[in-house]
Amino acid sequence: MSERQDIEARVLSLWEEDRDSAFELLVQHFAKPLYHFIRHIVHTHEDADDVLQETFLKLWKGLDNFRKESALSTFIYRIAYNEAISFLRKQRRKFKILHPFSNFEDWYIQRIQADPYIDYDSAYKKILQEIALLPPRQKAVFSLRHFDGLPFKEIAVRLDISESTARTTYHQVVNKLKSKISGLNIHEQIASKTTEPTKVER
Amino acid sequence: MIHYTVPHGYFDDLPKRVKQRHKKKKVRSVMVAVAIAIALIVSIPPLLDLIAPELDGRQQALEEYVLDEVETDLVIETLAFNQ
Repeated sequence: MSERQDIEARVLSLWEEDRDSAFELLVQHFAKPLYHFIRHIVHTHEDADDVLQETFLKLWKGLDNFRKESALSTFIYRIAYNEAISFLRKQRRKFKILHPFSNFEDWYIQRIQADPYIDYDSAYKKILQEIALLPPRQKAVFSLRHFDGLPFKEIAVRLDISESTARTTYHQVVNKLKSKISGLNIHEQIASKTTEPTKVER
Repeated sequence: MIHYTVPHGYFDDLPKRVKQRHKKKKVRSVMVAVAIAIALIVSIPPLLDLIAPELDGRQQALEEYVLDEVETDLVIETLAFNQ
């Protein structure tokens, strides 16, 4: 049994006896990877924090409905993914109501660039913009593959899509980003899957 | 490179903050339910008063119509009988 499976089994058995302890173990183990997964979809720390807390709240309320047909981590990532998508939709809708004559994409990019918890070289400004404006599913596939290095099979299970869709989506994103940043001479890094997720604590 | 960074100590009190958020949401939903209940209690009687005359009027019109119809039927039946 792998370490992940062991922790999942511990969380589930503890959930029957002591929910608070099970929940703390769940948060302790999943908070960081989930946060980074969500962050790659919503980008700003403030939004990622919001989505992460909502994800854990949904888990607190919905872990009883977990039918053990898949791994617990798959269930958790699917909730996080759905929460992130729903958050982005609500954010866009709210913006359109409050600012009917302004451009959402411009506001969104400005907001990301104003986040004090994102550091990037000026050369990466363009690439950050391009990633930020990708549809959520493309962002999720790209993030799981590029930053977390997951195999397409696992990405497919986590996002509830087919393996071929995951593969195609990833290559679409890579090609799109390559074409957008062709003049910046940094596209090799995008094509590379070896880049580790960056976790710098302030 | 693009570095997504995290405020120092962010993950330490996360379980606590999630529980606080849960409590806040519960309190908020109770307050919303109470507000809706109060709004209904306050607004239903004046609404009923507002539509009551109209309802009365409709009832009266209906009664008159039925009476007219019955009367007409009786006249027709009487005429038919006399012929």
